[in-house]
Amino acid sequence: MAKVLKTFLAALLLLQTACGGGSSGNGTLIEGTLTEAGGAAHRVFRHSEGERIDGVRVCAIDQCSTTDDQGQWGFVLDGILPQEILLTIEGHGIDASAVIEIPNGASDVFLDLQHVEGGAVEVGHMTVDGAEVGDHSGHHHG
Amino acid sequence: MGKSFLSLLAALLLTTSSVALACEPCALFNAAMLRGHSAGNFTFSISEQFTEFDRSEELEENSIRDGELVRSYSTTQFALGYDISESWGVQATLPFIVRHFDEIKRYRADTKEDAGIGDMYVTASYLPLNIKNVEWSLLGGVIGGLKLPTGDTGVLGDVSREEGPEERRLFKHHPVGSSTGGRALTFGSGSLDYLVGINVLGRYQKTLILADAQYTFRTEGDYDYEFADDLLWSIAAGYYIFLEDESTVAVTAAISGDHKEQDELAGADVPGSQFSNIYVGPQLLFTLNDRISGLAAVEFRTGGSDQGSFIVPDVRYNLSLSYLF
Repeated sequence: MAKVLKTFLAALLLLQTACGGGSSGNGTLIEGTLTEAGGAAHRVFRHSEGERIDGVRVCAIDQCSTTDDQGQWGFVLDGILPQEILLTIEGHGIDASAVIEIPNGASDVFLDLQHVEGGAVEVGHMTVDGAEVGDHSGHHHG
Repeated sequence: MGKSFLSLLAALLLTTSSVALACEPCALFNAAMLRGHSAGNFTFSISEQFTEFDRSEELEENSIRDGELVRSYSTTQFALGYDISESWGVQATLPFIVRHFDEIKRYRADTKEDAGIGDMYVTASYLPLNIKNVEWSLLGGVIGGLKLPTGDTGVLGDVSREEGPEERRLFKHHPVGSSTGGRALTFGSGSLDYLVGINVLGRYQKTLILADAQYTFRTEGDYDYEFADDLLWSIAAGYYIFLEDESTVAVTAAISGDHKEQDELAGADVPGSQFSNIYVGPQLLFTLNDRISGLAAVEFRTGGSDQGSFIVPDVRYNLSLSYLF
């Protein structure tokens, strides 16, 4: 009986501890919003100026996120990031990219992406670790 | 040969269902009844069901800014049964629940854990069909019982008070039970619920077939939250691989399912709270002398409808051990 009970309790303990605690996403958070700023040309997906755009896929390096109904998107990039990263923005008639300069050591980056005239996506404003950054993008194109 | 083992399996069927309901749709197996009803005796059992969850295809990576997603759900059940006669038995079951979940804040996930006592079940089982011959046997029984509101319902309060986009409310929760994603995971429901079940066992020489089904009628619980009625069922076919006077071992292949419609919060349907799951997997049942019995099983979800659930069960592990005294 004792042997059976020990075996059972060992198996029970193994199951209980199988899913341990931990954290993920300790890298650099890249997040933001996507807003219509006059670039809408597609009849089906036309958004009003100032409207947040949902359902658009934003990708950088090996991570992607789809904008929600508030136009919000985000992901965490692990490891040491290059100084410039390429954002690709696709969906709802948008097919654009933008190059963003990320300061060394940044942990939280917020980008206000705007879909502008001509179909390009520009960075309206950018904050790094809570501080506004003036010159924030390398180049961008639709 | 198989007389005591058959009685044991019969009782397994009778109490498997009631125990399953004790853990809501996560079907626990109470090995106490692997021994069969033994008039005037008590049985103490410990059962464990551990369920791992995975994202549904609808839920993309990095699509949740803030919320909670369950990763695993463990229910350890303690049961005390008493056999009134060779046909009648009663049982009280109290679950202890542990869940691991990812707490997501601004797209960063931190795995956390919380634990608590679930809702208690009190059940009665009756075995009216009990035919045993050398070549074949047929047993059948029914179960009825109540689920008492003993578990903590704090999460339901969070559900009812949650403001903001619906996605945030949906992602906070898990069900009382197996699946999650849009459904409130709470250790208790605050409701008094009613269950009924039926079990059948058939044997021909060394092969056996087990089947059971049970249905729970839900009522409104705390915070105006009412879980939908649910249906559990399983069918297993197996074989005695070891059969001695002092010990027996049987292996079976099982298919099972759990199904539920949408819950209601203040009279309105809760999106994503419904589920329909199908599992398959092997089971091992054993007895040792006249007092010990147990079960080990693993189930893989192979089908069902996600229907808006963002997290679905992936694999379930079941362990059970009982002692007659």
